[in-house]
Amino acid sequence: MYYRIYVLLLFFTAFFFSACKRNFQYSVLEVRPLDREINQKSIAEINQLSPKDTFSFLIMSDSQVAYKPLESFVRHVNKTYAKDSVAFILHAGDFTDYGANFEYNLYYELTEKLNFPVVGCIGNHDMLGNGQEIYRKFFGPENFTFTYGANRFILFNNNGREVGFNGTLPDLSWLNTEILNAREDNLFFISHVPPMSDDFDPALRDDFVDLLAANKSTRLSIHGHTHSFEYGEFFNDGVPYLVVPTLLKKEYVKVTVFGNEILVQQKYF
Amino acid sequence: MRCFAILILISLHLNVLANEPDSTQRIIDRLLPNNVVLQFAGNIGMFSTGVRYVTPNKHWKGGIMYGFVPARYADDPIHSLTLKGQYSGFHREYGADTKVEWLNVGIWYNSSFGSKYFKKLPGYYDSGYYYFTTALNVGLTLGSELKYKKWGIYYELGTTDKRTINYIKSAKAITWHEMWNIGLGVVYHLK
Repeated sequence: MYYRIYVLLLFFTAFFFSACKRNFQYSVLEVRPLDREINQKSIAEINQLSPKDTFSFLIMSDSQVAYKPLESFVRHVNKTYAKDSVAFILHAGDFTDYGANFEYNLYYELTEKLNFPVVGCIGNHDMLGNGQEIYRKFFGPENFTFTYGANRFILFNNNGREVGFNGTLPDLSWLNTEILNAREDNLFFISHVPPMSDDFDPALRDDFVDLLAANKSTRLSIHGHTHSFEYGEFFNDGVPYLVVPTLLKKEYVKVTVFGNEILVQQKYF
Repeated sequence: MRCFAILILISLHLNVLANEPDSTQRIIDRLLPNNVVLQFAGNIGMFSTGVRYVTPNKHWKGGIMYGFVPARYADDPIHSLTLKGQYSGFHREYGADTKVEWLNVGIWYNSSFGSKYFKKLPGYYDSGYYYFTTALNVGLTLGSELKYKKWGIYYELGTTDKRTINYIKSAKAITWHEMWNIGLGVVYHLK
């Protein structure tokens, strides 16, 4: 009599354990990343490359709910670009919608298949719930830099509204130190919120813009957040600002660097 | 808190219906929950524990659970309260002591405590800046429960509102089984 129940239970257990991809979830707010320090791992890969004076990199942004486009993007990039035609890929933030661990994991699993190293900065959505802690574990520090030949890439958290515009994001003293220490010919800044946006800390906006404009090596400030392509010298100070559209629109941006010159191209897939 | 009050009111109401003037014992019996439950995983804590009330016809269950995720799997430990309601069907008895409820369909409402999570958008956002809250989650469960004498075990497949919305927005990239995960529980029947 009982063995029938046991057999049935066993069958159901086997069925359900195989039916779920990740069987046990403790909370939507849990912090259980699938990997650690993926930005730093990508940077280690970038450091293995032999840098060229003329090179390209791609930028995607706001992939949050765009899992299908992200999947297509990965396929498109792997098919379109030969290994030496693109150095790396940048992500301008908002990997997730809820800052939830399961979303970070989905992003990770989809982009793992990319043939190029990916480095990304934190977006405002990525800070929700325990998102900021997940980012720190999964991606690494929020403010960091890496170099490629004569180019320095400076990535940082500037989601000021998430901390109630308390004057800490972006961390201007950190940024100032990084700029002062940089010996490279070209500086690229990557942060999620464009300073033109209402979500940029209004008390820090002028100082931030001035800081970038004061350095002759500043080539480009790269952002996401507003979901639409923008490119121009919005503060009339010689510094070009680029806003990368959301991946949901099946768009990304390609930047080519020729010595001290840059070419920004809007791309579709 | 409100939910506690509702549970107590329902219990009291049942007592009034019972209309037994003498028996304090019976009132206590009525107020006493039917089950004590301990659950592993299932989106409401790494471990959650609580009490469960069952209607006399055994088809409806309501419970309240406290859930905990240790710091190892969170930033700071997550503490939360969950209200759970279930419909239970396809009951079969196998011998005198063994009973299986083949179908338990449930809905839960979970609230996590802590200043990092919000139930209402903080003032520094414009209204509607985020369409969801981080502290509140709603979930659906589907499972079965086995009872042997005073003890029971159950499993439930569960998903949450946020997972479902993500799935709907990206059904082609997120697989169906990505949405679901498992909760396992032990039950002690007090009555």
